[in-house]
Amino acid sequence: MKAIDKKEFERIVKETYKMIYNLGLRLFNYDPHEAEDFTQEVYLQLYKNLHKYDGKSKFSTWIYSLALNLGLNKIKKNKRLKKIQSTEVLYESDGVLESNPELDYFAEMEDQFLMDKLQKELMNLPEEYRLPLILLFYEKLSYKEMSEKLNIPEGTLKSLVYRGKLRLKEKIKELKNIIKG
Amino acid sequence: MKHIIKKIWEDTNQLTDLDKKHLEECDLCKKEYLLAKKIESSIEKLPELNVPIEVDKIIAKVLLKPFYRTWQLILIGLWVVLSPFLLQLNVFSVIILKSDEVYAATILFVLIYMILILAFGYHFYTEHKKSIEEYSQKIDLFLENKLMKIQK
Repeated sequence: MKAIDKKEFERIVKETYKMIYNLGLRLFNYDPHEAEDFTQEVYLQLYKNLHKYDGKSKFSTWIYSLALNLGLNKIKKNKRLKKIQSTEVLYESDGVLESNPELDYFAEMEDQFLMDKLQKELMNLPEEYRLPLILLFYEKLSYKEMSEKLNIPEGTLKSLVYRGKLRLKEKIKELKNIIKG
Repeated sequence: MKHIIKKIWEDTNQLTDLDKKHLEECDLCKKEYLLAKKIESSIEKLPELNVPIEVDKIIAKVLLKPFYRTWQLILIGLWVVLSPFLLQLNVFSVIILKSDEVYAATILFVLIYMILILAFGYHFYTEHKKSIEEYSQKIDLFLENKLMKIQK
């Protein structure tokens, strides 16, 4: 790379590192060390593959998709994935599915308050639930894309998303009890 | 009236028109739907967190990282793969030909092979050690220069 490219590279890093670091946090259990390592790895790959950018998409979109693929590949290779793969598809046996006639409690909560609580609880969810939820609703991946990139059957992913949401629902119920308490 | 709570918690985006009509009529399902939607929306709106890392350090680490040249790696790979075969070929020749000259050549070959392994091994070890030391020195220098520019 020529000197001018290095300057260009510095500019790119400065413009995008917050986005990449935050992606690292979301993908890797909100662990700052892993997110930092991931950020560095992304820029190493970017430095090597910069010539592959064809200008068809926005540069930030291109680097984001490069980072997301890199992160998902890392997760796929990681041992933590075994836990996800071994999770069975469970839909029917959940007691929490029973209708709950006392759902007004959440309507009374302030939207922002509820949102903050949910986001905190999401960070505390076990990885096998949190990751598919984030990939589906934040990263906007389809079940098919998730399945291909993580090598997990779509049915398992759907079950994990479903159960993850129910866990968050349960947390709100607990919150209600604390408030009423 | 059949409730659609399970369907709601599976995926709110995949509810049919019929399901949506049911939501208008059924208070219980509607409340479940709204809660499921809030959960999905809380994930969609996850906030960006502050970055505690030094961006200049990342830049320095990437730009100054020592890379092995591809042709060096290919040569090493070829040598590692091919040399045992050559050695084996020579040993077979000794057994078949039962010649003193070939026997001497084999011993010479083994000696050269071992010397080469030691020499290359030592070379790569020292190079690697040197490059790591240079690498950290370069990073320090890079960050120092940055700091000086900022202070100016």
